[in-house]
Amino acid sequence: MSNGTAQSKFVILVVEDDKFLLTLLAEKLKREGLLVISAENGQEALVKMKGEPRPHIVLLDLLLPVLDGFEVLRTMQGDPDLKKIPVVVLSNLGQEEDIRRAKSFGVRDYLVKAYFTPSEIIEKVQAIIRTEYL
Amino acid sequence: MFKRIFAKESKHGNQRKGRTVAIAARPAGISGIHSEKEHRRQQKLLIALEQVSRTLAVEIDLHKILEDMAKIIAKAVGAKWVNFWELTPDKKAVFISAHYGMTRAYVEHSRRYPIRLGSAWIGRAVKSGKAWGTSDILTDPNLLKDLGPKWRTAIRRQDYRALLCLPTVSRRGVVGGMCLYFPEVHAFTDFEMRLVTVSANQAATAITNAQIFGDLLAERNKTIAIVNSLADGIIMYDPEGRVIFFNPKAEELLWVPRKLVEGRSLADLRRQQKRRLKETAFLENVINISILPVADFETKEFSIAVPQKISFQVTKLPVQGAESEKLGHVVVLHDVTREKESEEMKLNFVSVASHQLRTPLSEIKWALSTVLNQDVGPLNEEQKNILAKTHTTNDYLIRLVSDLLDVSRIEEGSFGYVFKTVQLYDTVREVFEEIARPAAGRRRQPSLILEKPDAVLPVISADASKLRIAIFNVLDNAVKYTPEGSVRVFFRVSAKTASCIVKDTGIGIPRDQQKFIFQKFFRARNAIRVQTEGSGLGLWIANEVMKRHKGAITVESGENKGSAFSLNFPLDSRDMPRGKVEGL
Repeated sequence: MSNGTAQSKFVILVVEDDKFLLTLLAEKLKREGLLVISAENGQEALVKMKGEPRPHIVLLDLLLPVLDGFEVLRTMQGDPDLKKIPVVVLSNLGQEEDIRRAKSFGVRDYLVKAYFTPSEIIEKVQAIIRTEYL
Repeated sequence: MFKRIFAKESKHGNQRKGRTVAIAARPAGISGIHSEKEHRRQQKLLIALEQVSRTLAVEIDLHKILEDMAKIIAKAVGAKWVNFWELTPDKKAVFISAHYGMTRAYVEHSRRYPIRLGSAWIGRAVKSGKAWGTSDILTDPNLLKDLGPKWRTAIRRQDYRALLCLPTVSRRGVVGGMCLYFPEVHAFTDFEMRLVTVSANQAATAITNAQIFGDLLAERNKTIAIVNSLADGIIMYDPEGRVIFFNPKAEELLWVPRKLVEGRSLADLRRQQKRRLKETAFLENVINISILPVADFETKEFSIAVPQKISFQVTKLPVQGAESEKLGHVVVLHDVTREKESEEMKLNFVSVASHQLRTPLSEIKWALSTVLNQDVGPLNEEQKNILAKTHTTNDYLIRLVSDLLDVSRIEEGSFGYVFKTVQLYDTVREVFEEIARPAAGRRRQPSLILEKPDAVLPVISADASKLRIAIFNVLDNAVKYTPEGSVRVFFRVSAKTASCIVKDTGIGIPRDQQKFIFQKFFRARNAIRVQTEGSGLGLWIANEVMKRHKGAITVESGENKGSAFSLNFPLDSRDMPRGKVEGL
């Protein structure tokens, strides 16, 4: 959704309560030329989603304090502005029930953190940007 | 017929000598003298008998019945004393249980020293089942002969002259005896004998009924005690839906005291509840259980929310009487709250445990990946090698965690299966594409080939998500143990089976180790040489999954000759797995 102004970078909202993982991923995203905003819990995530700059993609952990990822997804689904934003779940919960539940909210992908490196995650992000925004 | 056996007449031919009387007590036709006096006497006796019968009908207390009977009979026949004798627990002796007119001392004496069956007059009557007595103890020659000279003094000391002892016989047999003692010489008439015999047997019936009643009470009390101490709640309803029984556990589970509900109909309970008193606060629990639609012999889940959440399994059972008449039904409440909680906890444990284990492993993976990518500075060759190896080891750990969790779920039974029609090729292709994607750190990789079948495969019944795990494990193994060469995935269909075959040109499995490969943690020696990491669980998991799919996994292999693993699925609908198998 580039609007022709100075903003040429795509904005990725990373919702992750583990600071180490958050840093590693954020740094990688930045190195790839993406703008990163972050949130450490579900509530903060919803606030950031409605603020500026608007994220193009949300990378969402599920087990979060205050408000968990499923609640965030539920809220996004019920909000006409938010439900359009593509979400990629990044979680170490791997049971089918969790995957099925997340997918029922229409997430683009579900990646188990332990199985993907930051580079691999970014490949997926780039793919979504290409399909969605270019 | 009465059988009257008269002893020989006395030596002196005196008719007034005592006559021994031994009679088998069976009813007979009426005979005897019909003088006016005798007639009046008979009437009196009949009235007495009627009184005795009425006593039986009205009284429940056995002792009182027997005492009343003793009195009535004594007065009717003119006896000084009448007593009833009862068998001792070992049934070898009798003692006095009820009497009319006797001294306490005598009665106590009989209790302390019961008379053995076969001895003394009463003992003989009870043992033989025949009446025994005499019209005059002082002059009856047979009596004296029978008992011996020692008894002469004892007899003279007795306060009575005539005596009659009868067994009391009910449908349970001889239950004791009855004695009548007369102050004067007394000639027993036919009528008297019959009447007294009938009374004796009525007493026997009373005694037997009391025993049966006592047995029933004991059984009932036993049953009540058992039901009251059950760990499950029991509510019994009569055919009209009234609560007729509510055991302590039901009180506990539903938070309602039994006195509030026993004897009440559903309408009653509803009315009570509407009054909204403190005591009737949780009546809704009983109301809700009472209206729960459950069929006979069916079990349903039910829970109450107030004052706290309790989950039950509710089972309804019909109750029938001895003649198969419907007596109502019973509802059994089995508390499953703890089981439910631990079931939820178990699933959560696996979920949370996997998350807790994976989080630090992900941190390591991402950190290593970042450094290996030289995003935070350049690396020399040695550094790269060490870190690459660390990354691989870490990936192995991640895999191990996943396998262990699968194993734990399979073993616990919390691996629930949902069987649907599945296109085998599509499922295999998904897994293939995931494995085929270039993996970081995997240097040598065989060429991977997926051969699409010529014709569309017949559908199989499978749980796709579990199947994916099995296929992944087999395929991953093939790739892992084929450093160079190829891994080919293809399909075969026979009349009864659809198979997916994973054939590699890798290190193979030594013949003597082939039978162990599906065991947990087993790794063939040549596998360990090639790759020190490997959980040894992948094939065990795959095998368990295939077993659940009513299929099988087979292998053909030779050391250094590669392996061909075949996952076989049944095609006959009779052999296919069906439906939903809930995880425990």
